[in-house]
Amino acid sequence: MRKKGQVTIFVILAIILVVLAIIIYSLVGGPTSRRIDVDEDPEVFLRDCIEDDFWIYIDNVSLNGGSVSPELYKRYYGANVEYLCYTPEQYELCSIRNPFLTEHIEYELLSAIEDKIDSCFLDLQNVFEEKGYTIMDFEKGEYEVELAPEVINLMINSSITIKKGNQESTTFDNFDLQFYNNLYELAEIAKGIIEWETLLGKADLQEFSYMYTDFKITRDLAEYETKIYKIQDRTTKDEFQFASRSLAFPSGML
Amino acid sequence: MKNKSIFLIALAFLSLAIMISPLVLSQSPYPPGYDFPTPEVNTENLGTCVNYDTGECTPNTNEEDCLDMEEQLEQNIEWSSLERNQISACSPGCCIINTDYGPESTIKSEKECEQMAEKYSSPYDYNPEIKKSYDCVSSLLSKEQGACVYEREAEENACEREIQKFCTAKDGKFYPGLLCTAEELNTVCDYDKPTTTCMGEDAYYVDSCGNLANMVDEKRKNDESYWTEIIEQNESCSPGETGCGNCETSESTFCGGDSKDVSCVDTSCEYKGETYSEGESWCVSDGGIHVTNSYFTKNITYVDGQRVANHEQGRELVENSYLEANLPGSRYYVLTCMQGEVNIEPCADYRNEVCVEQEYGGDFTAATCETNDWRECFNQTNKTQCEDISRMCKWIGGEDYYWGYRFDNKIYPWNGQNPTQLEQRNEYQGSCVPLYAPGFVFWKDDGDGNICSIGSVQEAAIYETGLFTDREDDFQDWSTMSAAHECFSGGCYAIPDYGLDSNLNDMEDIVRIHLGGDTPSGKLKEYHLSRRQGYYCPDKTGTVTGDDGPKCAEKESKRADMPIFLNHGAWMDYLQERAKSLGDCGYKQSVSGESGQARSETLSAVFQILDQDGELKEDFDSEPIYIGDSRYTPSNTYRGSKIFGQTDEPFYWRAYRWWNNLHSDKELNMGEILSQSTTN
Repeated sequence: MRKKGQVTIFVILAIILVVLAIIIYSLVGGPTSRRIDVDEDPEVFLRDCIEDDFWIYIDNVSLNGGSVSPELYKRYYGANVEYLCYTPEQYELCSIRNPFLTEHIEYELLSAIEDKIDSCFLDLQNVFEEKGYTIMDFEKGEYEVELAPEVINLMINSSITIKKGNQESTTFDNFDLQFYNNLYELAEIAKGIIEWETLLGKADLQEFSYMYTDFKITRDLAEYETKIYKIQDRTTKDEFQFASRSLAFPSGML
Repeated sequence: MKNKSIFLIALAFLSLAIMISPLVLSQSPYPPGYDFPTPEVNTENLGTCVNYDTGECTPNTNEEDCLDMEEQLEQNIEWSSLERNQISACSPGCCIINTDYGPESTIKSEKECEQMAEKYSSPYDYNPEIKKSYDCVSSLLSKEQGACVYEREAEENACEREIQKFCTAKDGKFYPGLLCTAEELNTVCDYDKPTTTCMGEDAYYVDSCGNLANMVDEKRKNDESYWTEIIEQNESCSPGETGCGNCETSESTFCGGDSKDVSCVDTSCEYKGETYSEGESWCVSDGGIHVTNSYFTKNITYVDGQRVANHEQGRELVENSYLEANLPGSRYYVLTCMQGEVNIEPCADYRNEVCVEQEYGGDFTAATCETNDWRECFNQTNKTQCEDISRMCKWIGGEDYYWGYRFDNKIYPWNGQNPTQLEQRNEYQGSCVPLYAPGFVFWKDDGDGNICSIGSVQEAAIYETGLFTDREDDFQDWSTMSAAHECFSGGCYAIPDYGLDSNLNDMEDIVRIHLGGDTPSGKLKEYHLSRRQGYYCPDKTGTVTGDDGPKCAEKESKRADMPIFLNHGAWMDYLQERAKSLGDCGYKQSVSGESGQARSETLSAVFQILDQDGELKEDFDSEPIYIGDSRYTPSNTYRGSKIFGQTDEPFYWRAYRWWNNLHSDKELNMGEILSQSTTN
């Protein structure tokens, strides 16, 4: 009798443990899978597909002075830092090379990521088809990158209509992806510094530091009388750097 | 009859270029009367790039770059040759928009203001009459802020802190002076778990809706009344109070800390055992620059209404530090304490900028990288102009008995007694050189090393010998004293040891002898001074008779002017200081302690025999006397080659071995000389 009782206890315990495991699993979830439920939220799939590359391009333009592949740059600690204000002459003030920096960065990011978005949509379609959906319609719309305070918006105005079996078709469109990075404000500060460079030859860093206390602004010197400015958000640690050559004093007599 | 027509010319020069050029003549400054250019923009093809879609106007833009932008962005962009302030679309005004923490002001064009408001999803207020930031801020402060209660999507009683105009734009109800957490408003915002944020230097509370509330005050954090009305800063807790977000930068506190839990934190900085306040900046350098706070203080003064820097204080220290400061490879830096971090900013390359400090109130310094206008120095022709308070130049020469070459080679006379002449010589007989020696690209053949050559000189010392003196052979045995005695005119001071006798106590002794006075002790022939009458009295020849100075020189009308150098030491000191002060010139150590090329400072002699008419009869090879800081002809012998005999070895090698045998405790640094020298 006692042995039977002991077995019973163990069986009960085992049942309890299994039930608990099921409850916990259903609440917490199992191991994460890269394959998202696309029919529920294709935007998440798209984001997952695009974000690694997009972050690389964001870091790229941040360290390169606003361009993915700058044409006129100074090599600085492994980055090709673009000259945003430049003159080849000695003792002359520079001219501004990218007049509308924010829009230029938006353009650069968009150009860099366009092909990836196209490819991700192809993947999306393939995944739908693998899941038994029929692609009823796909319209490639316009893509847009927008720098805004503390965020970079990637807006994809494409649409895709899917249908499975006798279910009603579903359309997904206007995908808005947010990437949290304060490149907008960093670029705005950079524009202010560039104006000082072109009008006076050098920005007053202390003045800028007191105007923008949430940002750390530094200046280093590189070869060829080049100044490298770096602006960093103290909170998010996002940063932007660029080069300038203005009012260059060479060695020797002028 | 003494053969006064037998001349030996000693060619002494100091070659300061890396390439040895034995017959470099002293040059006028490069270029004479140099016009220091004023900075300018190359206005050709530069104008304003206007983006009519965003309202942004960028000045000093090349037309090509502007049109590239138009093509790239496909926006309504045009380039104008006009300046920005001449274009109506670019006209600035005061723009007020609502950001995350309430309304903020900035100066923008109206279109830009509109675009920025869209970014912040905010209405905007624009005043084209206000053009300056300060006035724009005042305008914002004059607008009362309050709680705007409105309906938002599914939310009744949403609330934002803003100005009335913005509230009206969203059809909200505006409650001036109240916070969104005021109980009576019954909004969705509360202060149960407030966060904090930094607004400038101060710490503020933020309510659950993300609206800015009042300044952090731990004592009132849970006080309902503190969350009802907007309280101005001057009515908030005082700086220094515990738990108060009213930070005071003058006490080195600034808003900081964890992003959601900020407070006033100590933002002073520790650097090499010194504590620096928030915002303070100071000068440092890498090795080789002698910079201390107390010596490099710059006083601001006003001359004719213009603000100028006074470099008087510390001048003496800087003037005399040419051997240990501003060395090749060195640079100045400004360090700044900002929010607890020390930021390093290097000053310009080639020491085109130097760091200067100003003290405020005795314990707060502000430093800047200031332009080293060393090029202006060569335009200054007298001591007063050179050492003007606004210039970074120094005058070498300019004291009683201590004068020197001018860059224009002019010599101001002094007969040994006339005070006016002495005053003039003190004022004009010298060179204006940089106070902070600049850096050069001396490592390239076509670099700036040629500037150093303006420090080179050439002197001719002329000897008068007896009829039966064998100039070719006997002269090689002459001691420096014998050479000094027979020096007839010209640069006798170029002869090693000239005037450097230990019993010549000071320059006044030499001047007295020149005027026919007595020697300090002993006889004239016991001194390294000329014994030729012609040296002291131009119309005379022969040897000075007697033990003292020449009698002919007692008469002013018969007397020659005093030379600009009274002894060999003064001559060498002057040349070395001038050379090293010009820039990366001369024999110097670099900032890393490596010695430069000793041959960059070389003193050599060339001997020539002239006939009675002064025409060249015979020429001899150049022989170095000094290389770098080392002299390797023994002091008691003027030329060493006779001692060593005629061999194929270079002169300096023979001298090296002889010198080391004789002075084993003073070994010459020949290793470097040998490795860098060329075979003569």
